Amino acid sequence: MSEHHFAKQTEPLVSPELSSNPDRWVDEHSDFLYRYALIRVRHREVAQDLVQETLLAALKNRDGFGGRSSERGWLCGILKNKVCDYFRKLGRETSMTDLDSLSGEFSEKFVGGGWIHLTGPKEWKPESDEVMHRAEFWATLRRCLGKLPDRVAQVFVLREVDGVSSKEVCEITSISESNLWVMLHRARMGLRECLEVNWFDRPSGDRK
Amino acid sequence: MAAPHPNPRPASDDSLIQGRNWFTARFEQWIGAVTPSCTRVVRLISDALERPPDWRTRLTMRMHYLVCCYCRRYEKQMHRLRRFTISLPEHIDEVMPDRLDEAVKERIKSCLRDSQE
Repeated sequence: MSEHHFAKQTEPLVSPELSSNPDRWVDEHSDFLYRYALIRVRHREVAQDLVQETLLAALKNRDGFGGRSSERGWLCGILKNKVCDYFRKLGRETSMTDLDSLSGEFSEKFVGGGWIHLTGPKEWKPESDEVMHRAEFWATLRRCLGKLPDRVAQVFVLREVDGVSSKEVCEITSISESNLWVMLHRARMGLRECLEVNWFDRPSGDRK
Repeated sequence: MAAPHPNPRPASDDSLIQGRNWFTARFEQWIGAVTPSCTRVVRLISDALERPPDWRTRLTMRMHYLVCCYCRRYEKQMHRLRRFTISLPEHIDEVMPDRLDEAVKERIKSCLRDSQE
């Protein structure tokens, strides 16, 4: 593996002796790891457990951390695998009820298969992506994500936030490709609507 | 012939072809007949983000956009949404106030200590 690949890490590199102090791991990284897990699994207790499992696994494998990457990056990599394991387990245990509850959603936006013009998608202004510099915008997006049903949000985050390929998402969550596409479609439609109502279609002083 | 549901185009409707005279009305009708419905087109837009559609599908989508600015906007917004979500991790710490409770941190610390013994 190329050493140069990690040269741009912003985290200070730490010596292996220092990195093996688990109390310090908790103080320095647990909040970050917790947020990482929470946005993906959406349940506090599950996220807490995943952080604990991650640090336990890190402790067992601390020789695996050779100071090549940042400590946080290394822990995050372990957590990412734990999150995927959690989804694998969940995929075997839960039915597709979330998907059923979504069918027929947004039907009020259409008539006879076509958009109701008065409530159809509005032009999103401004067209430039300056919104991406606004903290309030990210808070809105996060809240909109929070409104999606669990399973739909989980596959959406895996696919669009983590950039996992459709094939891998299907494998991790044990859903068929056609179900995945339906879920992604519903997620996108829900997020679009939520962003429009709560951000783009609001006067800037009234955005939340 | 009256439409079964009144579905007027608002002033903000900037579809290229709006059927405001006899000729464009026929053209709009024809496009409506040869392209999929909006509910189908929005699904195609989402699927296109997973796998590029074949040229036939792309063509019917483009034709549909001539009479429907709503699906055209929807497609544009889907691409923006993708750009937004990819950047979400860079901003998540700013907008996510969630912290682990101190009690949970202590529990994890003692659990880590136990496992070392």
